[in-house]
Amino acid sequence: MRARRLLHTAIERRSAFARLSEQDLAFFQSILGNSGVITDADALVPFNQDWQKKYEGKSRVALRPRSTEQVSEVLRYCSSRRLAVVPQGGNTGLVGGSVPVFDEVVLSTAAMNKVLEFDEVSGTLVAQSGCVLAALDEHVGARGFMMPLDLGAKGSCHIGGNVSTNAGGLRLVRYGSLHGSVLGLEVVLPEPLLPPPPSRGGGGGSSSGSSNGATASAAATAGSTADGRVLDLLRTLRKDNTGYDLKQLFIGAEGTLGVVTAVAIQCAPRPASVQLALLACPTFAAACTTLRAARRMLGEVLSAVEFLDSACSDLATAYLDGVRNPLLPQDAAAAVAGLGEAGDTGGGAAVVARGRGGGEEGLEGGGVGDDRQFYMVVETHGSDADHDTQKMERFLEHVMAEGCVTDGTLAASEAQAKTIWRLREGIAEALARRGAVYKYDVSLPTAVMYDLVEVLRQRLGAAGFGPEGGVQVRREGGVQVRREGGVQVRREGGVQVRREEGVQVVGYGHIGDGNLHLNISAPRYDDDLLHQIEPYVYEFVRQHNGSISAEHGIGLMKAGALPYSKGPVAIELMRRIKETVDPYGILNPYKVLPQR
Amino acid sequence: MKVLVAVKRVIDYAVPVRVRPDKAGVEALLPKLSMNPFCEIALEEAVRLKEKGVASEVVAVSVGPQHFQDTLRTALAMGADRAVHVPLAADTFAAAGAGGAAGAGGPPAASESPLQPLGVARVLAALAGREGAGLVLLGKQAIDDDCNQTGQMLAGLLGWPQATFASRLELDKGAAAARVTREVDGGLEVLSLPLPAVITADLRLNTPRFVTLPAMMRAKKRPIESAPLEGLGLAPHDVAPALAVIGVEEPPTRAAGTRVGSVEELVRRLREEARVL
Repeated sequence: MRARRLLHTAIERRSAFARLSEQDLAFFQSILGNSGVITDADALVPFNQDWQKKYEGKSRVALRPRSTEQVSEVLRYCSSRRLAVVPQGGNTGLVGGSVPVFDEVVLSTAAMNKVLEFDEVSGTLVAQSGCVLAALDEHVGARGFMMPLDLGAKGSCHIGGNVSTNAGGLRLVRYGSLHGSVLGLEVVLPEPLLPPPPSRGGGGGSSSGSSNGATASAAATAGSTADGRVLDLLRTLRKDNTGYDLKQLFIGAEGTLGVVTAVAIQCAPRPASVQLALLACPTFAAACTTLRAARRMLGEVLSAVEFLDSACSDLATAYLDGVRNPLLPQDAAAAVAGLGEAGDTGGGAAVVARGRGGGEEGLEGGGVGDDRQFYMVVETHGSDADHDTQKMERFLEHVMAEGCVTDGTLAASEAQAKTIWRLREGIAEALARRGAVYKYDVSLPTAVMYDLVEVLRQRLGAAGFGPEGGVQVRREGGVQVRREGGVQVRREGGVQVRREEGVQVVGYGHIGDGNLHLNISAPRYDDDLLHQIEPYVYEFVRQHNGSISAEHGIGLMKAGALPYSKGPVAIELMRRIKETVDPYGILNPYKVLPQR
Repeated sequence: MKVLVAVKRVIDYAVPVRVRPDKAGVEALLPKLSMNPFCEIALEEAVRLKEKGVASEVVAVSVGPQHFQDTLRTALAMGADRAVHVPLAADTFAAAGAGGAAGAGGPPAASESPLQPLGVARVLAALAGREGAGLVLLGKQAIDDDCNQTGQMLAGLLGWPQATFASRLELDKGAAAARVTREVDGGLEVLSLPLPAVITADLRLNTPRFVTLPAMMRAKKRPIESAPLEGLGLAPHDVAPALAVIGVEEPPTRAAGTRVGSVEELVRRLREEARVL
């Protein structure tokens, strides 16, 4: 079973959980209608499998409720039957937290995708939890605002999922975390905290007992405010110090304490001026110096600071169509891809970087996977293009004069800005295309962030997991196969096919937040390789008092590793809260908290 | 051989626009301006000619209000040797009483713009003569007015051969003729033009380079020549807009599609409602 392949400890299905029966399906269908209940095996695959195809559950049903009442009905039933439930948004999570481990019922927010209200004066948005982030950004964008978070998965992720994982993203350095920008939540709990009101007919009658000061959205679900299972914290107030701030518990709880059904969030004014620069730094220390200068000189308009190493740049340009690094000549990018492109008209500048030759026999090895240099993406958001251009130009002159930046480019148009972002945002996809990926997301003191990448690279290389060197040429079934520099290049039927064989360790991420995305790319998953990586990476992080999960969350992947970043008292309090809110443990079991 | 390239500053290609409430033009939802993408491609081609040693000098010119100088800076950073700005704004005609509403030097709406292809072509013709250009490279059209006329009119005024919608340019050093592949409706057409000639660039001619920081810094210090109309032997009436935009409207919204339940229903509706059968 796939989950076992990636964990040290095997998980057993909890025997207290019931198994799905025909009566259960009939009940779900009576509440949600046929379109709200998915049982077809092929249709269930995207619900059972995560985006990276690393985790695969065996759920036999996915549910798509359209309202808070329906969610409450489903949870009431599942609790009474002791059926385990996995809340699922866009299923873009990276730690296996959004897919079943065994046969848990998938509760998808996909059909809860309405915007409930938007206040154009204050910029507060209230939306159902199944709204896709990019769609929300477009909606508020038409009214002069923007969502306070942005991440590569924006075209698919749901705002409810973002909240449940406390997603960080590209602009946290400017707009803060969801713990600050979320103003309110509506959450359905697995167990009612209050006894049901007397004489309710057939589940969810619309009693008019609505609380004072309820927003339009709460009024729309008026029946549920009398439902002891629905936690209505949906306010659009910037300041509200009235008792414990319960919504913070659910932000980042990864669906283990309740199902988020609606979100109230503070949007930011859409900036009139956006500047974007891509910079090349000779060393990681130079990148840190550049970051310091960016904070000081761009300060209040700085909106994103990202970094990537040259291995990432090579991967993104090699594995994705139309992605290029503007600081490298295009012919070099084509050569890296092993596809000899017919040169541009007029001959163009036939400069090929780093001694790579394009053409028939593929490319020379070496050079990929080392830390030649680093790239930084620096972005500003401001209200005045002239001011921001001046600030940016002064900053660029300074860092070039200091030598911490050796080359760079400032996007002259939106199209160029998109190209630059595509380079940074495409890395995860490129890694997925190359083969197996071991993905780590850690918080470390900024100065030592890249040390982890370097020591791991050395460690893996010494253990026999490095980018393979040397040239081997042999015939395989009549096909000439040549392997050099960890890349296998073969000509099959006149077409050049490239298959990489080496293990590459790459680092990129939110250098402005001290958040490293460490990725190990291998041709296939391999437990021996995994044992070289874990717990070494977690140990390194613990030694530096860092976090084993900066923003991706714990999910299934790191549940056993939680003690590396949280002490026993903290974990015990988390267990107690979980037991109070979810005594039968039906919500997203096996995730987040270490198995006892 | 000198190459003259004209560049225009327009609302950035990626910025959404909508019709102004007074229907006199369009407005951008974000105040973001950039070099017209086709002008960028033309400039990139000129710079490559210079890098190959075919062109001796690349002169970038922009006809328009003061803020067009920002685009000329970008042209210098991309590799142009010199930049010439020909000031032309709505207030050039205010005294003459011609053209649209009096606008300041800021980005004008379409109807207020005094920039129309014939006027611009006359300016470029004068400049091409003054510079002794052997080749004029332009974008095929500007993305704000989509006229696709300036290059053609310029060739007519100069009496030079023209190749428009160029997707490939082959020109050797010292050659007397250029070989141009054009993208036309039916496919590709290859022309041979004796120089001097006018060529307008289409999308697939090249991919423009990103401006690197060192080039950007150097370009900031370079001078931009200001060449007023009188110096070129032109009067305001030579470049005054000859057309006035009366109104701009959104295209009719597409009606939503409908689903049909069966082939019979499809056939019935095609016959009775769409009347195509």
